[in-house]
Amino acid sequence: MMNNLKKIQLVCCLVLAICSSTFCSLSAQNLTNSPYSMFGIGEIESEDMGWNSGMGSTGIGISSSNFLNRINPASYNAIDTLSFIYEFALNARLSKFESASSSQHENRINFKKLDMGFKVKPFWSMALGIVPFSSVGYKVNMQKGVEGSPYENFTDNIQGDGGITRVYWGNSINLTKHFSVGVNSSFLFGSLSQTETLQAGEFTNEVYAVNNTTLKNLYFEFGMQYSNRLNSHLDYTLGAVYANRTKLNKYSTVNVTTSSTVVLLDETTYKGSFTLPEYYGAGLSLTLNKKLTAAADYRFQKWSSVKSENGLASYVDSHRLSVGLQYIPSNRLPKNYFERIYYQAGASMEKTYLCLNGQQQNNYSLSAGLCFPLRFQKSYVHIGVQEGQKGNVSNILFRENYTLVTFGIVMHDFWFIKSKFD
Amino acid sequence: MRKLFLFAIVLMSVFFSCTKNDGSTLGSDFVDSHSRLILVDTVTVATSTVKYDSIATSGKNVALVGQYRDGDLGLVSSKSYMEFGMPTFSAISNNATVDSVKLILGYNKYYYGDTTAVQNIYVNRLTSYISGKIYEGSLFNVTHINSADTPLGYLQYTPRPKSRKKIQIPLDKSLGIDFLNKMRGGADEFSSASLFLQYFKGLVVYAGQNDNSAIVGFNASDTSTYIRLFYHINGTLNSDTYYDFQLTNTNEQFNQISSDRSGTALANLGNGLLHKLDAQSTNQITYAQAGVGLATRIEFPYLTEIPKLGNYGTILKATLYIKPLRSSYVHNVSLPSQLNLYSTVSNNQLESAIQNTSGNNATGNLVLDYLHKENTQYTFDITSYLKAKINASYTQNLALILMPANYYSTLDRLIIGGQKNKDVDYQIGVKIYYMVYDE
Repeated sequence: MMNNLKKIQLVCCLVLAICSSTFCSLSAQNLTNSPYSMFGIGEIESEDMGWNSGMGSTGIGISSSNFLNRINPASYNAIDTLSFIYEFALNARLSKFESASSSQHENRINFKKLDMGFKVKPFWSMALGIVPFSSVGYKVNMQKGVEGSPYENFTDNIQGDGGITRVYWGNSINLTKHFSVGVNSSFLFGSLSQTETLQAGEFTNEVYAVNNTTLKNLYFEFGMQYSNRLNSHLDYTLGAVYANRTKLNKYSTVNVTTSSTVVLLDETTYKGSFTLPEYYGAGLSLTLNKKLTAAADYRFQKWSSVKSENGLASYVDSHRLSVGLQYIPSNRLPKNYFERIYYQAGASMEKTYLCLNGQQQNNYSLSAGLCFPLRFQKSYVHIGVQEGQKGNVSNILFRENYTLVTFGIVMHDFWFIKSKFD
Repeated sequence: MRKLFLFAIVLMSVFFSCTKNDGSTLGSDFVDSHSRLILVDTVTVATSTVKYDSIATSGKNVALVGQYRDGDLGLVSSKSYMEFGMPTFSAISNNATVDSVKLILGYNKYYYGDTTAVQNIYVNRLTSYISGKIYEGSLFNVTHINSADTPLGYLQYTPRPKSRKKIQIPLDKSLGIDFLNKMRGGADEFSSASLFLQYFKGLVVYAGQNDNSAIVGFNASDTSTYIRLFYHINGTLNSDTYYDFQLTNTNEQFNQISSDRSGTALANLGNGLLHKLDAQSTNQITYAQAGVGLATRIEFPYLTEIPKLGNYGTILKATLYIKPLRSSYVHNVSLPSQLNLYSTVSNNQLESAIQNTSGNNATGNLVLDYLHKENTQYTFDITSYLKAKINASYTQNLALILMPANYYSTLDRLIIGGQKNKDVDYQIGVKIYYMVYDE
């Protein structure tokens, strides 16, 4: 009986996941508004915006039974037997973009994750979820000259929208008591569009040139973790992740119409691909008395092997170093509510894959977060704040100063245990 | 389930995620813009003059009569043929006496040529049926109907084309006497419309052989054009009694228009669909004239070069500019207020008219500037035509035919400069806004 109820619950969650994925892909809404997103497949999410956003998104070497840790698929095995974890997160990004000549504020709220994880067998854990992989959103107004007519100009307003969504299925297996391996099998899909709106004095109607690109492919990330204790006070985890080079298949169409919807040009242009290069990551964490965790990650992605289509932008190898701390005053017999809260702090520095006008763009951030336990067992509401800076102002370059506020819920449910009110 | 509910609420918040986005110049140095706009005004426009061997002039409700020596197009003359019906009448007194019989024509305000010169107008009685020459429902500018050798009427007058007055051409009184006698005697000829037509086959109205004045347009409709038989009853004072023989069968009324172009630039232009004279052989000038059947053919022989400007491209706008020569609209001849442009293939047969944005036949949007005559021009939006042509997969010889709008009912003429006309202000041209989308 109980079993059936849980199954229904699982089905409901899957339906929700499917709904939200449909929503994400179909609406193709502008979830981003950043000039950094005009390159390649958009701004690629380098961070896992969940409970660890307060720790610089550090997690390759973290193994936790309280949270899902997608960064390293081998970590799923830490999920308790009989428990079922749901996670949901969204964040607000408050940005100020500056260039030598202008500055502007951009605020947006984005969906960040919806996942769930559970133990299938004592040695086997599984996770499912949907998260944004990359997003495109920009709007640039340009004034260009009509070729062949020295005094005639036209406006070209260029808008980019869309993004790639990741639906993943993670599996983790304990090979030994201390060693686990895992894989995230993801399906990446989405569409990116660029609309150029042309307007010239000669035309009463605006002209829209729309380039629609759809991309999709399977993507696999592999991970392993080794956890053990040094002594009765100190636990440690070592982790590593790897993803192989993957080509996303790309189909583009160009469509030129006027505001009176006369089709001027309707062509299926070409097939192509966008390459995600090899990705390597390593991390470790130390936990003292099951209260204080210190973790560090290093990630590297071989972007220099990918050729950019943009003349002023190129891809270079990305490096990201992050550290995080998490402290819970008491996890056994707390005297008050504040002793049950997780307090987090972190920092990250990243040399991003983008090289604009010959300069690699850097991204630095400091973060802090809190995880508040709920009345339900092992369920949390978490909030993380990241204060960061991306890029720098020089010449034609621009910089983003951002504040990221991540809000999420982690819910724990126990299978096969009857709760009073369910 | 309560948790699940909470979870769903949170999920719903996704749907209200919002973003603020105003355009800016931020990133404009880096953005991949694929669109370019190119103005192409150097496309070759090849023009030539063509002559249709015949054009249908019947049923246009206009009688064009006169002769004019056009300095550019030679001697142009027009005869008009028409049929009349019998009047309604009752018993006619033996005392009725014919006073006169006149052909009465009202101006339709159209003229071509010199209206200050005296015109000699003749009327002859037809000896053959007009209907005998009908071909595919029409009568043409080359159709000729036999008529009596001696004129039935004659008038010398100075045309007043804008006048409301009608002209009255006196006809031979014997015709009136014959009409009246037959009417009075109950002759078979007046017993039915067809028997009347058999007896009186119609009239041809034409100008004197040596006239050089104007070709004047008269209304040719059944109420305004008629033969009036004036009579009086002996012994009465009232002499203003008459019978009207009104113009009938308006579809069989037509104008025979001839033009003798010897001595002009078009002297060598042959008749027929396949004949043409290129602008370079006529001093970089081409011609069009309604009624006569002259038209200007316009071709774009190197249009296929345009798609080579980029990977993907489309014509956003294409405008054809037509410049009438300064000397072509002087005191005697005005510019046609409207032109028509048709697509055609190599044999010059009209396919379809170029249309304006509202779906009607485009008429050239004449802009007149008498002060700066070089600004006077017609323009046609030929966007969709050129787009079709540029995308045509076959190498058919597509072209455009330009002609005055009232091609079958006037003698409007147009004289335009070719693309290599020595006066740059009078060159025909096309301006194409071409958008290129580069991948």
